[in-house]
Amino acid sequence: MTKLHPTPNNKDFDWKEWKELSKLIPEKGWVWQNVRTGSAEDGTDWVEQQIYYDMLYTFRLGALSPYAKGLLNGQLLGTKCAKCGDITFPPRVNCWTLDCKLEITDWIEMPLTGILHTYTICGFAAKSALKKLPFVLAYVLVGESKTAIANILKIDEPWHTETNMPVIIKFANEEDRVGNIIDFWFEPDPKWSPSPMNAEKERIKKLCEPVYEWVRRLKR
Amino acid sequence: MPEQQQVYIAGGTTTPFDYPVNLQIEELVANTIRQLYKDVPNFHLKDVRDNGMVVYSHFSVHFAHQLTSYWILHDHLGLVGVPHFRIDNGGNTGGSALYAAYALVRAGLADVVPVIGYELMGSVSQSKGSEFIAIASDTRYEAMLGANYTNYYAGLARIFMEKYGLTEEDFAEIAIKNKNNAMATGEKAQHYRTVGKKLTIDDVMASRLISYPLKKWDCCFMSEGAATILVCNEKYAKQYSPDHSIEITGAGLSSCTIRAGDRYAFPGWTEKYGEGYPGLGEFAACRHSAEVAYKMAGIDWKDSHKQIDVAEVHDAFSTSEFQIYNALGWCESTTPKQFIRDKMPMMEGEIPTNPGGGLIGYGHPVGATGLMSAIECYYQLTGLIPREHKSTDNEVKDAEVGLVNSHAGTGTSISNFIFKRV
Ligand SMILES: [Zn+2]
Repeated sequence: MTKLHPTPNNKDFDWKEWKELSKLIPEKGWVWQNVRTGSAEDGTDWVEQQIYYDMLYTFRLGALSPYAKGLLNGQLLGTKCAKCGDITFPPRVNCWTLDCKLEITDWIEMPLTGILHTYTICGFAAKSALKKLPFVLAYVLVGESKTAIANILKIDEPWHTETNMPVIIKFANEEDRVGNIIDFWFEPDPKWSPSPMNAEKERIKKLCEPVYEWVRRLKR
Repeated sequence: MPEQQQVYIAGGTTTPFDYPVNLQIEELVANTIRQLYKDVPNFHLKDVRDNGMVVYSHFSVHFAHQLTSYWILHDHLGLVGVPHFRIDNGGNTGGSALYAAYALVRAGLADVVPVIGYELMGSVSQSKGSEFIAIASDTRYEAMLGANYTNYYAGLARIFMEKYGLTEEDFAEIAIKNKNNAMATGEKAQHYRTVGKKLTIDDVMASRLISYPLKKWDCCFMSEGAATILVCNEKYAKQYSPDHSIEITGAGLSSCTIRAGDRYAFPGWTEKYGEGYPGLGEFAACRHSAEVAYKMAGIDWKDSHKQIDVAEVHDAFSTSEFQIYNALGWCESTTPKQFIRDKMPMMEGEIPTNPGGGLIGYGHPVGATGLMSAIECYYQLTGLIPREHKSTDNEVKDAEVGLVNSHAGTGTSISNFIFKRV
């Protein structure tokens, strides 16, 4: 029999609880805010209206749920295909090799070590992350994974980040974990030490200086 | 049964690109069609009604505060009964919409297909806008990190830089090339409108760190605008623009992973190109779609830079334009480092790239962007630069063959076209 991802029966779905959870942030929908009018230099009229619209998303993780539960337990769960042997982290719940015909993969625990493949030192980012600047976004090959995963590298002096450096995975405290990528991050392997300062590192350090200053002002 | 046809472009026009622009989508688009009526006097929307379709090129419903916003446009243009659909393929929306129009005419299902692209992105704050765009990354793994596309691209640039021994200055050369080319394009180009002067390598090097190796002037800015390009068969090309038509002789469209980390060793690429390609530093979908387009147009991969006279490519970042050169095969007979140091993509070089200014100089209102690139290339090949640009400093004289590139995600969808003067 062909193995498929199961479709759970919905009859036990707790509509009442979902309604309660929806109140986490009360949704307002379309809400009138403001109107402004004027004329441009050439006499063209303009009118602007500010209208607020929001939504609370529910992400249902389905077959990826073991990965998220793993994070809550302080584990990285990747997948392995029983047919071709490929290991991937982030997980792929069906194999990516065409000849494996979307074989449903098995969950495996990944080691908490990896190699940094490439990186960037962020001097600007999304609103939610501005106060963390400058931070390092790194692509890391965890264990024997054939894919790299992006996450934050916590390193005191970002300009010392190097490709191919060994890193370890650190988890947030158990009570702070939420089953999302933000539960873990990378740190340099304690056994690793950076190569000496060079022209590029000096340059990156200099580029970071105004970013530190900007963030200090932002936090005030 | 419909019969296969050759495919032509008989006209095209772009609105000014700026941010924000105080206009509705229907007036933006109506402006492009009215301009087309002026530029191509024999064109009539009745031909579209009788023998055509319309492909709309629009990226984000989030920005539009409206689902299926092209439904507003279609009847505003006076069109009912005419088949229409919208293409969204991230940053490659324009290229993909052009590809769809190409396929429709090629297959003989339609004879006249205007491709109408637009994006209004100033409906939300700039930071919210960047966040909207980042929704095209895998939100389950990437959104919560607080990074946006600039950060991902910078990560891809870092490994590319290291692999080929490139410097920040090499990238800055590309940034100022495009900014400064836009000064000749004139008032439709965002850099001309908002900055209005030429920049230097020093300006780029001194600008704010966005994500190493990218600084402020290495990046395109958020913009708004619209563009319409007229795709048609030979009969209509002769009727509309006997002296100003180009033929689309090659069209390629390819794809790569949504998460850049997943292309480190993807089986599909390993089978095609061997171990280690593309890794995170190369754009395999660009290479693959270029190979397809080159083959159709009879262009040899290794000599492609000699057989193409002008190119308009998707320079969301100076670094990605460089990665595109490499993926297009232009560095095959040299090295990426030597390619830029020989000034090959400059106006005086062998293959002037983004003479119109590209995304960095002209702007990037997503749904209109790929069409702007195609229109700029069309102008170059039809001798229309003196009519369309402020000066002829960025005209590639007697260009016969052009390349147009459109690019999405972190290289997730890429199209390439070959245009030929007729
Ligand atoms: Zn497999």
